[in-house]
Amino acid sequence: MVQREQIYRPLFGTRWRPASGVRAWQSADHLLIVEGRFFSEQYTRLFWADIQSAVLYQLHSRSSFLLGAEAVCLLAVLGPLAFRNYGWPLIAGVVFLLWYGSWRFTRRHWGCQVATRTSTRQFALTGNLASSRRILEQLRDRVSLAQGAPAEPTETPMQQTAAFSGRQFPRQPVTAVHVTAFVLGILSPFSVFIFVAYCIALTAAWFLQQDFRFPLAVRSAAVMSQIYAALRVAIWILVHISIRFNFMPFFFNYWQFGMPQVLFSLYGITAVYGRSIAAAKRQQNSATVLGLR
Amino acid sequence: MNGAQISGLQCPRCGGELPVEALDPQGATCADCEAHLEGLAFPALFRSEESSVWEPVLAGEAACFFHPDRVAAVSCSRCGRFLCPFCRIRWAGEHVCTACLEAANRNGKAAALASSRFHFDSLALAMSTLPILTWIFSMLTAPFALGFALFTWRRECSIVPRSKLRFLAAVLFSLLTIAGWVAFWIYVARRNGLSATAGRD
Repeated sequence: MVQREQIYRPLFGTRWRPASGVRAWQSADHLLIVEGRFFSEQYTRLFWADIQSAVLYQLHSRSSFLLGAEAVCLLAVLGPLAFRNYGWPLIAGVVFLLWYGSWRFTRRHWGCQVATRTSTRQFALTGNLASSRRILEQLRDRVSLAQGAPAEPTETPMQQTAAFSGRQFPRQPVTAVHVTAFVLGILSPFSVFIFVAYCIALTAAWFLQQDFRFPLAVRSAAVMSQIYAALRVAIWILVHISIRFNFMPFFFNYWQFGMPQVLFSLYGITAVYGRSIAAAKRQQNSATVLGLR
Repeated sequence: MNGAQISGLQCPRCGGELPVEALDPQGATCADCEAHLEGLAFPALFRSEESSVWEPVLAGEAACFFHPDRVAAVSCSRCGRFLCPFCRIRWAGEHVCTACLEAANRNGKAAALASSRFHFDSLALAMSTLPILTWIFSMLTAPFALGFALFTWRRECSIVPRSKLRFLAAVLFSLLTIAGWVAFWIYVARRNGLSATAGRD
């Protein structure tokens, strides 16, 4: 079959975040939704001529809870360093702060839902409302080329459509992973092997929480833990190859620096629990982040 | 208009019925979860399903191959079968029948129908970096990751543009890990050699 090669271009503002779970690309005749799953990606094609609606919506984020918990966790890292007047470790602490900040403040807080008669798909957008609106305008222009100008909402009854809702929340055993990481994090100062297991649990948490629809608080806890663990690994390497800076506070046997990772894990568990209860109360018949019904 | 809802469409956040106001660029708030929503309704939402209603075939008219009682609208670009509006599929700028599309997909000739791809590059990168956390395993996984990256270098990892950066990073990390282990074992061998020499002396 003779076939033209499809040329895909990213929607405006969705290109510069390759790590997200769901991305959108446009081609001449359709919108391609790419959903990342571990080491593969699934494609859904929504043809411009079939698209019925596009809705912009704000993603879940409890700003006050999020900022408060993050502040506590970051203080747990930076506080002891500052009060005890450590030199080099403070730089490592600032690196942690910058690394986490660069992740945190480039997160997406808006999503877009595109519906056709038979399919509904959601994908994440850039961080602010203005850029998200530009994407909506871009969608409107492409669909208008295929269908004509957008319709005005009217008071007359609308045609019955058969759109199916997308997955509301990922159904994943996140709490179990967080609790495992929490226990391993508490025990990790006692053994290198337990610390290795802790790192593996954090990696699992990362893969389980890739979906952009997951509450940001849950993802931030995993990311903070991972960055902190990565720093500890790097410092452990530096110490053990005999480059002797004053890295002692990050050393394995120091309890005070086991505290941040315990706090991060507690934060994750709290976020998962809080989000799940809220979701279950609001819509009893839908899946929650815990996979309950 | 207040209170009117669009049947079948749901709020992206809570799954509740979507208010009509949500399909307005000015925006609205979901009654259930209080999420801010802004949207657009396109003509397809109001399109009557009658557009795909078929017409009965009359004497002298071409009939649909799959529905002999329906009048044909187009012919398949691949096999030439006559197709009614219900059977025709617009794909890659052509009208094709379901049989040809399925055959092309089965033979792997229809890349535009691909529904998934495996990220060989991401797997290679993960294999080359994650085992470093466990130290000892990296001695075994680094050569494997290097071989895997080189073996799958030409494999298509996505239908959308994707750079070779992950493959390059995987190769680089693997080589660095292998070099590190080689240096370590040379160091151990030399130290043992020196110890043996000192013992003989």
